[in-house]
Amino acid sequence: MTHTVRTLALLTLALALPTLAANSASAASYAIDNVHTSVLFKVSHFGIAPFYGRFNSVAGTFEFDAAAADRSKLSLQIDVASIFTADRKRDDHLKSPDFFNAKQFPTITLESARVKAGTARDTYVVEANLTVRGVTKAITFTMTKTGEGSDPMGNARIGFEGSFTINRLDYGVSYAPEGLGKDVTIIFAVEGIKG
Amino acid sequence: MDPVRALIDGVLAPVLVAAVVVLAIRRPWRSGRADTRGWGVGIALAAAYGIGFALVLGWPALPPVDVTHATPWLAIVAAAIAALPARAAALRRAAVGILGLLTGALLVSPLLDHGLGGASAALHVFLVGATFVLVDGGLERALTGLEPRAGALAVTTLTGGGAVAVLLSDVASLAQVTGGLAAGLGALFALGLWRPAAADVTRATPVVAAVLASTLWSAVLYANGRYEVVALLAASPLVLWRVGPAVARTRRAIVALAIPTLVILLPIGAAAGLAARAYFAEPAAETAPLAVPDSDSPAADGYDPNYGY
Repeated sequence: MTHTVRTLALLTLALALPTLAANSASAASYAIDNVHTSVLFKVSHFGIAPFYGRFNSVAGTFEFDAAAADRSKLSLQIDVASIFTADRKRDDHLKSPDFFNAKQFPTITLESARVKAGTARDTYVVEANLTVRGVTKAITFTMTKTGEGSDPMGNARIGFEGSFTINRLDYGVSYAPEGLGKDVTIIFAVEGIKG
Repeated sequence: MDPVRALIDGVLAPVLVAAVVVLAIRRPWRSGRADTRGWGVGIALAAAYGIGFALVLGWPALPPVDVTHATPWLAIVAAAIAALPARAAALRRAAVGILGLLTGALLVSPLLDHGLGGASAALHVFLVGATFVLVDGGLERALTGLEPRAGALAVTTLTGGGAVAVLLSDVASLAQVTGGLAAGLGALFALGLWRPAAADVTRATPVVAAVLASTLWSAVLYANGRYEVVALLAASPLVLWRVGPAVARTRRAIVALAIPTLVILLPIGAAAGLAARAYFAEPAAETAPLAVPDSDSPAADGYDPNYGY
């Protein structure tokens, strides 16, 4: 009897070891590869058509653990001055106090507070704090892992994409509420290099 | 932007508030003591500006998160200074100078974290303070020698010119709310057609100075405003002071009313012209495509290790 109990205990421990090992391992860290990262925004123009612009400079890091999503973290810093809409006068206007006031608030930040696995495969629900123009609000969005692998230089890479919609008035970006939609959708695709 | 809504928020509401407040607080033409006459005009103009700001941009935060949205609070403090009795002239001048420097410090402080050096910051604080003092002192002196309605019309023109300059600096929202102050001043001018003393805005110059100095420098420091435009606008009350009263001494009332405005329009027109030239000179065409690298970027050498494909 004692022998049986001991055998069962050892067997249980052996079965649990991989899980324990996975849980004790730290999540892999990645640095955002700006060259292969896209942050776009979409806003309605007079209710006629959606208009898309982008931010050309994005920095940040993320940690990802597929086995334990709650260990994952995301930190993005978007350079407001890198806004690009294919028209310099419009870009200048967007950087002015009418919209982002880029000189006082040069960075838009997104910091995850909690990550959990989504219902669909390779999806993750991210609860994060978004700071725009000095105003921080909690948002929730879904990220999807789009792929992973190595580049020709041997760097391990992983990619995600996601989107969320905010009311720009909540962040003090209140100019022309009749002409430009209040709802702004942020669409992003990030690629990270394992570091 | 809905033009009807813009008209209501930026013009009609400030006109109504300025007229109601100035009539409610104190009917200027019935004030007995010269020492306190017109003390409520600054409050009426600050209220007119504040309501326009709240309707266009929302209620301003206190303390302000965005320093370019601090102007309503500055206008309230300036209105308190404007309400000081005439015998406290030295205190008033000192308070204007201190508020000007505080305005400068407020506007410049966020830039210290983003590359503005200490010497440059100190210079800009001084320039903002000097603009504040110059507009207030210049207007006060100029208006003392003018018929009230002529003075109100000239200050309305100056404030409107400031709004145009800010608009041409890519800050349409601040231009719109500055236009609200001009609308409030216009309301007092219109009241002056009924009761000339109602248009006396001599006591309210700190409010005008607070709005113009903080807004014009917001445009310079946080958008595409130009130094020479601010200099011309700040100096325009001095032109009015030196030339206005002399040329306004004419028997024809309409000419006496118009000449101070025409005098102050010269520097204002020059400022607006400079701002317009800068605004329209900028290329409206497409920004340089993304593929053009900076000279010091890795891709400039033909190879970026991160680029890959």
